[in-house]
Amino acid sequence: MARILAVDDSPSMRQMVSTTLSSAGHEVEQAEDGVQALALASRQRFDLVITDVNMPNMDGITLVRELRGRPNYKFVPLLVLTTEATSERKTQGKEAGATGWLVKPFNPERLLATIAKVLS
Amino acid sequence: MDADVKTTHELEVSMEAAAVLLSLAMHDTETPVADLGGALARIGGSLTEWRRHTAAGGSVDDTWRARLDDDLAVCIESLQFHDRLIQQLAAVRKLLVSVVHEEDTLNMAGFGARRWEDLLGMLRERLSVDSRHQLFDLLMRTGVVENDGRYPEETREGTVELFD
Repeated sequence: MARILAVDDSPSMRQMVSTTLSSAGHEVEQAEDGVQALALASRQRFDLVITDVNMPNMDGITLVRELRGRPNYKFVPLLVLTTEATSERKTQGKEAGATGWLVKPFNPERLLATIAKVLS
Repeated sequence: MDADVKTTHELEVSMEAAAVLLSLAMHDTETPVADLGGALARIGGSLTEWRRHTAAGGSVDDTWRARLDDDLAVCIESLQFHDRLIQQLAAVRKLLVSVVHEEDTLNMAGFGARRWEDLLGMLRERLSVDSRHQLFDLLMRTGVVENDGRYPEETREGTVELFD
């Protein structure tokens, strides 16, 4: 099972993601914005990061770019989970180094299947 | 003179977008709440069945567990309406605040739009996809934005796209 960092400024969304991932046996840490996520990622090693886009202090696209620039996160799957779905935003995410883009609301089964796929 | 006309137009579009957004938020809430209520009712029924079964010395089978998993998944998916509702209400608040302060730059974070017209266009697409043409027509009497595009499959809720 993987160590996963879930990043979202919405407490309810963090809870939903954490509940889903924990039920599948993953170990989940939570951060409420990009700044907090970067601090956690500096102290600990995560197997996967799943982040929202629109957050205060540091948005998800910037977080992905920052993480991808770090040697220990160069090959770690970075998933974006957001309500945004325009091709422009997706392109920004892809260029920042995101592994995939999931549009909210997520289906728990599909989220777990996606995570299993990118971790394999 | 042109500046005044533009301001009036922007004000109309802004108010219209706020109204559509509020209507969309209200409609968006109905289905997930109904789904959530249904799932909770089924979970309640399953638990009653489980108690009766175990009291009679029976054991829980895989079908029961699968049904419970499915209903819990519905709960998790439905509860996310709260996050969407908060985003929509926050967007309406930003829209109205920006109108009051006559700001040129509008923050449409969460909707991927930079202008009122963009937001209206997106809302129109969304409402079209959700087969709410009548509601949409009612809300969009001015016809400020033409609906010139179909709603792409990859932008729909719950979709997953993995990059190369």
